[in-house]
Amino acid sequence: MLRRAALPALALAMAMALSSCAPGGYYNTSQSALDSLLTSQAQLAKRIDAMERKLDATREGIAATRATNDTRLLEISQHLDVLDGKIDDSGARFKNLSMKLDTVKKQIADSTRAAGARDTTGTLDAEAMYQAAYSDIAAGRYNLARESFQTYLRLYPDSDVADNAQYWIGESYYGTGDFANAIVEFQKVIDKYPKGDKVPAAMFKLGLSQARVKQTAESQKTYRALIQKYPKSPEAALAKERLNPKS
Amino acid sequence: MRIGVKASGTLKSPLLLARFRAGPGAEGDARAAHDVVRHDFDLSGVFAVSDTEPLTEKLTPNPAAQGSVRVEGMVEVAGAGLQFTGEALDIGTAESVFKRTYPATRSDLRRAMHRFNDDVIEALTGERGIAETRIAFVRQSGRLKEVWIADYDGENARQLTHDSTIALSPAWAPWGSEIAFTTFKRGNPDLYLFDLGRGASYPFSTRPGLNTAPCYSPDGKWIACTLSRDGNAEIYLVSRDAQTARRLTRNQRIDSSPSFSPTGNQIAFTSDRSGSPQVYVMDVEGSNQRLLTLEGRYNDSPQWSPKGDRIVYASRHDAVFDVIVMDANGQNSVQVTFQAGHNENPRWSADGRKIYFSSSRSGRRQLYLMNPDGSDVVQLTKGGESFNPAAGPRARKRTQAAGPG
Repeated sequence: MLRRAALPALALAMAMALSSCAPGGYYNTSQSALDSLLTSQAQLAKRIDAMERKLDATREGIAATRATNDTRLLEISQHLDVLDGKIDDSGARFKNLSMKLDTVKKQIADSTRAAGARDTTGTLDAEAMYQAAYSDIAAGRYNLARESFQTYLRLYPDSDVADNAQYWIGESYYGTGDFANAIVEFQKVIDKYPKGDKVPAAMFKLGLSQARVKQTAESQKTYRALIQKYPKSPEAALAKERLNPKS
Repeated sequence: MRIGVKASGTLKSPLLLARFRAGPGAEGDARAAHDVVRHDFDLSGVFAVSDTEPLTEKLTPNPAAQGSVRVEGMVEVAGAGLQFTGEALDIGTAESVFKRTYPATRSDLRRAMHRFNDDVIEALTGERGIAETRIAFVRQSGRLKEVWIADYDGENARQLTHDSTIALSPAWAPWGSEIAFTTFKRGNPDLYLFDLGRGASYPFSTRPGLNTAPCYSPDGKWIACTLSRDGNAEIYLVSRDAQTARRLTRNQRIDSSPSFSPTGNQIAFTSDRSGSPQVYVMDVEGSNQRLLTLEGRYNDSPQWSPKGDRIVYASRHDAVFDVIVMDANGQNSVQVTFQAGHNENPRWSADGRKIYFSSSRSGRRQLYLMNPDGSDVVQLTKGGESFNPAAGPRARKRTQAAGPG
């Protein structure tokens, strides 16, 4: 502590002593101190520059990696979507084939029975019956569609599209604004065909139907169950929107 | 690709169209009126028309010709204008099925004849014709694409938009006095609504990214369209008052080209979610999405028929597009165009008896009209390049002014 305090005083004394023979001495000393200060400052700035450049490069590297990762993730999720789509489409194709199979089975059964007296009056093949009923839905002939799908379910209860038929019965009520009956029929899709692929759609429509008859609490419960059971289904996303409508 | 079998010709009722009689000074008008109606009956897809001379005496019943129709007409000068009297007779019973007098002027004689055609078709089939309807389409000249409007048969074409940019995908409002379309006039593909009454357009959806492929719901309260504001083309329902937008599809692939079913409860659309564009259907709330096209690698721009029983779309095979008609359940798809070049943008006429489409069979794209089985193809536009047809609705139930129904 003492030594430090003494140093400036000593320097001052020396400067005063030298001042007579070398008038620029004090200045020179300050100049060199300043010079070295400036030099070190420049070096410091250079190092900071270099570090900043390194940092930038690192940042770019990170960004590039992130972008690559993002792209990869996007690609992967797109691939996943395509796979999902393909699985869904295969499901649709499978059901279509399976429906044709039902018809063929029926025809074989019919022809084995053909030796005896054969009654084919009023028997429409499975596929034709289903397709006709579905066309009625599209054209808005809801009562006709409902009757046909109900008949279809009686004749072909084990069909691969039995859950679809049950869904369309619900839709036939929904389409005419009969939400009370729609609730009953959509509930049947969930209860009778719990492993069928129509369940998320039926749950969503059940929720919508409940909302339409002011069963708000039940509707929200249905939406939550849908989101929990089928979080990745398109219907789950739609249900979330119904639960939290954007202002 | 093999889609079904080639459709056979439509069954048509025979119709004998008499040369129109003319009052003094109306000879030229009678010929003109006859030619308009002859063309209308030909285009209707309902009749097989042949020409005949007017009746000189009362028609006698001919049970062998059950189901055949004879049409007579007369044009007379009436006051400052004209009047046309038309009659349709059942040749089998010799009874008059329809008779009405239409006041007209020389400039709107064509319109009066279109109305007579639609009245006759309605009287005979219970379903009104489309001769009074109009079409909207896109016409390209140079690098500019504008929305045009014309009579159902391509006559009286006039330019609707004058934005000196690119306009696309016009769609009619169900009430017939408004057309939604996409325009690049602000640099971004935005949706505008053209008010035919005011002759002006105003912005409807100008969200960042795509605002395209509009389709009105049958009740006119919603417009389904493709928006990419979330980074990827998805289908939205936007309320006609533009207050509410509801997203219907969500995946990382492109969903586009929505088309309402006539019930308004379902929407057909295109998605490439499984790798290539295919036609899908969903409930109007966005749920229950399902694949519809089981055949073909590339299927796009579906449109539901006015009766809801069929869906038309364009399918690419062997590097060309052709028009396919299938049942609304995806079954029984039939290729209905076979000419060279691309046959695209198929759109049903208001009565579902016809399909408009664009074809490059003669070099540049032009509009054509055909029966849904591919027969009776007629070219509607010439010069320039025309595509993206949209058939306008029929007038809502008009109040009958005069004449026996």
